[in-house]
Amino acid sequence: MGAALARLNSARRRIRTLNSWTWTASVTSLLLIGPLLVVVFGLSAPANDLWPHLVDTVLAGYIVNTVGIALGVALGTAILGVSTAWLIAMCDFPGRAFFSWALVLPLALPGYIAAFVYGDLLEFAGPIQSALRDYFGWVKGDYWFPAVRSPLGAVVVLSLVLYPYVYLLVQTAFATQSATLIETGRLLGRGPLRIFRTLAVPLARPALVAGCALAVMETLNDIGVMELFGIGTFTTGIYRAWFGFGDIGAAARLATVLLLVVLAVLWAERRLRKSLRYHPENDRSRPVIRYVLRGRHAAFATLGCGLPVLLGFALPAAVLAWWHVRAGAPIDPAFPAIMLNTLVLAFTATALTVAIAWLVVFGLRLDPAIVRPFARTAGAGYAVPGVVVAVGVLGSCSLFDHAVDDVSRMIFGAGTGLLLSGTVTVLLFAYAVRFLAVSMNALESSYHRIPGTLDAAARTLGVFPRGMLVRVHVPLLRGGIATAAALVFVEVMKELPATLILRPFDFNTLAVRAFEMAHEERMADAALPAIAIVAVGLVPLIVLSRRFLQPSVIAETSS
Amino acid sequence: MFDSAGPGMMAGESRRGLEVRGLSVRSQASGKQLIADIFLDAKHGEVLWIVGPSGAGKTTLLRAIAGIEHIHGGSIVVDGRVLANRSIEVPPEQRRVGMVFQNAALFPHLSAADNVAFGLNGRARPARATRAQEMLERVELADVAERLPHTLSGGEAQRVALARALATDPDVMLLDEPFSGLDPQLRTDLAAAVCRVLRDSGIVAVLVGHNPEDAMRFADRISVMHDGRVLQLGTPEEIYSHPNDAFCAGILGHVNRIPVKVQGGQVATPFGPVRAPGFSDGSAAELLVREEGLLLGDGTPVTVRSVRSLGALAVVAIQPRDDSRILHARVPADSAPAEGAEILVRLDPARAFVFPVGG
Amino acid sequence: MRLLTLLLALAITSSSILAATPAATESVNLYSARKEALLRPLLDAFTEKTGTEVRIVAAFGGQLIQRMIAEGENSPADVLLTVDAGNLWRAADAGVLRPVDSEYLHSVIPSDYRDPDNRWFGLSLRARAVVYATDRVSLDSIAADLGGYIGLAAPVWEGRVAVRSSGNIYNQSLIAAVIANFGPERAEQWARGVVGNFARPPSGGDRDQIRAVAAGEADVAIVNSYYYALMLGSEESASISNTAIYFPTDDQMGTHVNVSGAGVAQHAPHPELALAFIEFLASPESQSLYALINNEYPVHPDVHPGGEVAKWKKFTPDDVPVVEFGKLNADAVRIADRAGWK
Repeated sequence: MGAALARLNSARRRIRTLNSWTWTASVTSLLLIGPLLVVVFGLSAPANDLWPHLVDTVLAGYIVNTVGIALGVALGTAILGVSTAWLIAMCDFPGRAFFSWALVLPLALPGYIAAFVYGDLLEFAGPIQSALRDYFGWVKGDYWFPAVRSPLGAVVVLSLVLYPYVYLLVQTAFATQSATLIETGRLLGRGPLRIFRTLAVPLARPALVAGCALAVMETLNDIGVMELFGIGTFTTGIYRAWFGFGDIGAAARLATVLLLVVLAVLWAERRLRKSLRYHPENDRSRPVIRYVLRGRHAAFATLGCGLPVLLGFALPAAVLAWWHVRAGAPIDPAFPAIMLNTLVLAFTATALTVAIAWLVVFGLRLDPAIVRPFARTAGAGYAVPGVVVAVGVLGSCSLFDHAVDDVSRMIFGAGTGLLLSGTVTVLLFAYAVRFLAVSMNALESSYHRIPGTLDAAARTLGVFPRGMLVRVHVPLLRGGIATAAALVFVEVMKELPATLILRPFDFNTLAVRAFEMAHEERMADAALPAIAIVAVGLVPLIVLSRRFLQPSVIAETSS
Repeated sequence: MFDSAGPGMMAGESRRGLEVRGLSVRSQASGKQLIADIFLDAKHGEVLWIVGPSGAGKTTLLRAIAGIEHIHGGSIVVDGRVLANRSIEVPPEQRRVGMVFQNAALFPHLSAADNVAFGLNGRARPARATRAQEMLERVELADVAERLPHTLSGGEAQRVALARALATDPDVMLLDEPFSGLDPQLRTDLAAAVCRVLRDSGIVAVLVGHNPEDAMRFADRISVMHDGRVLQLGTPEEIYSHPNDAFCAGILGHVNRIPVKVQGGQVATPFGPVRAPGFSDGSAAELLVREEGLLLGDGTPVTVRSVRSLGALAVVAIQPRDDSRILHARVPADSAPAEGAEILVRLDPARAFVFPVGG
Repeated sequence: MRLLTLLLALAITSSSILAATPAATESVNLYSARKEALLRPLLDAFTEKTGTEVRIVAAFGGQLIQRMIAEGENSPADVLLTVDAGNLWRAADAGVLRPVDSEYLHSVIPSDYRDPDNRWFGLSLRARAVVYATDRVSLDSIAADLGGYIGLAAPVWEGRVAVRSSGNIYNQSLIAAVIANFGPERAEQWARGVVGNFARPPSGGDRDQIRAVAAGEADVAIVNSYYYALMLGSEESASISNTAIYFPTDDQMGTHVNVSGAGVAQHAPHPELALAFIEFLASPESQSLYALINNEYPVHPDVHPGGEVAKWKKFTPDDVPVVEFGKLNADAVRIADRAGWK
């Protein structure tokens, strides 16, 4: 009882000593949770009889597909990411330096574009199957070919474009953290495969879990690939209930189930990462001596790294380029303007999102107990489908607009109309909700590397909290900020559903243009903006991969 | 800089130093009691050394004084100014309490001089640079001013950290195991230098350290902590000669522990009886004899089982006749006997203590 | 909080950069499910004729309706332009369209192709037709074995039918039309039969179904007429030269025809301009272009279709008013889900 009283006492005192940063961080997180709450509150909308119908007919399929594809992508990205990370971090082979950054490139390719390209290439009527039939004189039923537009196809396509998340994180973990232990393993006479299995992978598990969680989040919110491949998941179900039937109640029920799944994934990720962390954070990191591969082994390694880059990036990009060239279509005169528009939008959204994430992460560091629940919930926006975020943002902005309008009518006798709705601000808000988690993750892992004693030192020196932020954290977090910014920038460049529904009048982005043209099946016209998305996304990604994968190691001469 | 005493300060209280009264702290995460009912005081110009095993709560106590740990009871007062009690908790940046951390916690992106100047707000740039240089000179490190922390040795880093903490002219300086991880000679030199600077500054200094010899040598007073409590507070000599309990007796130097039974106010030993006042007849007790409390030359005959030289001193393992127990004696190396020799040993009653078992 | 102020300033500045187009005092705000690039010539023609700018947001019909609901009475939308009567009916049902009184629209648009309560008006027509492989199916056999839509469920077509997912409104409206003609029980039986005849699980868009037929994966595909015309006019025409279009008709049900159409927003800031814009789209000079850009049939009875479409046979449209598709949509979707039509 005494303990409880004491805790209560200290809690009361803490509320009084809470500084404005903690408040701001909490309130900002709450703002970002707002749209998600709007969606959940849709639950109270009168459910018409669609919901029981969905439960009777398609819900089981949604669950099976969603869970199956999410697990499949987790496995696929884990296999691709861990094996390439191991090769790059621990082995020397021809092309290693090139692959160390090229392996990140598939991240620049939006999943829906990859799905479009592969769907077209591999379908029955596509060039590959047609060529096979022509060559062998087959007709339908004579041969077996895997159906690309299937859940398995979705798993493969998504794994190919999402594995870089795992690769980036696990490669860093391999290359630095476990150096001493891996060397100890080698001294104890263990071969590379046993070290991989018994030492490196277990040691890199926190990074693996974090990378897979990102990939799973992307998969859960994916709508483009699933629509193109005709797969019913929670996300397409929400889409259908909401925009197909206008049934907010049913959509909100589905969205709430999805949100719960997402929160469970996030929670499990935190738990796993915590329980899998073996050694203290302040362990001095140091590069490892790599195995030098020769002959057959080197060829396998080159192939192993080459295939993901080829299939996840080079091939789809080449097909896009070919489509563009084949049609010989003139370049859309609106293209330069759309390009500029997209760049300004992406830069602004990135700056805003990273700054908000920083505010939240800083608040989290100052007072975890108070800020954590808000911050964690706000992070869930990443896994929520863009359309759902869009409608939530639309709803919360219009609530705000209507409130301001009503107040203004009451006081001034004239309304203000819509202040936010239909402006770019709404779009920026939606991006912040969607991508907060991406930038928060990058900043948080960067923050973990700043020992708490530095904060304590700054505080006891009377510099707090702004000075601590500006003079200690900013200089030490440059890398984390760059990572966060690069990831958010690429995500915003690729973002489609929320942009489509929230944009102001006469407002286009590359993703919107590529999608509109693809939807009209004008592939030649879709190719150029799609290539531009990929090309612009490459710049930050290459910078990012260089930062992550600093060259540092002296290769060993024997194998 | 000395005008910042709180409004509640009364005349004559301005130099009373640090007073910790009934302080207790619970873990934020588990609610477990980390330190309980701590009473401490330390004067200006005095070095108070806290010793105790890891997990005793030493660092928690420092962090609570610094304000980077929330307290759950008691009070912390410096020169009559309340830093924390039931209703007040002054944030660390307003406490005028400096801290030196175990790992120095230098800002890795700032040069030594910039680290020292870090806390000097509200002064012109040249004034800050001058002050930083002054501080570095005080810790005899003027020549490392422009170097980055990772190029400094462990001892240099700690001295820069001290200079940085001193630069803001705090009332209290807290040092958390500043000498751990250094080699012995360097540690002793650094401890001497740091304690000199602290005393010269007229500051209240509280230092947490592992090494009892350093504590004996450099502390003005020692506080023995165990399991979140202060067991004894006193000068090194008081604790060495009049320990409150077996734990305090054992912490400053090595002891022989012998289970005994009290009979008639004394306990029997191979070296004759030792007084044990206040014990009832037949009660079980523990006799603690400092290794340097077994004197060679006369007394009871024993067999020398082994001799290990520590340099100037030697540890001699002896076995009294009709006794299976091996005891250790610490003697000057040049007067150490040979292994296997039969010698005479007596016990210095001022260096032997009887405590109840489990007390 | 200086940081926050800075961020706010940043957001506002960039918003103003990005929204550089100043709001013209007199403009029609169009929420369109039809892509901007397609509409551009018509919008420019309207501006040239009336001096009124048209500002556009293009997205899917269902999304635009949700956006209008969320924006409520402050919505800037003047006109909602979307495809499929099902979507138009939903918009009207959700209360985001207002009834307008236009003698002109009444005179040029047949009553089957507009809302009885005058909240929306069809502007172009598309048929949900069948594309078949001429090397495997003869015209005679398709007329005999298929006839109308109901024939798609016949056992002779087992493993030969390609169609996209029932999540698509075009299929929902087709099922609704079958319900209207044959009643719900027969419609469900029919849907089960069609599902049993699928050559492959539904996936892709209408053009993918046509490609599947051309490549031999299926023999008949249910697609909107304009997709076929679009492909015939593209570089792909050679690869689908072994296909032809057929307009299903039987004694009871004519060829299923749907509309694209528009309505004036409930809270339109410029309702007169909005109506003027819709009347402009229905006028003979716009109708041929509006139909041509997407290879559709004009709704105006005096305007003839152009391009590839003009070469096709005339067909008898089904006589169920398109408004019925919206009313029966929920039933149609339930039937599709129960029949296992993905």
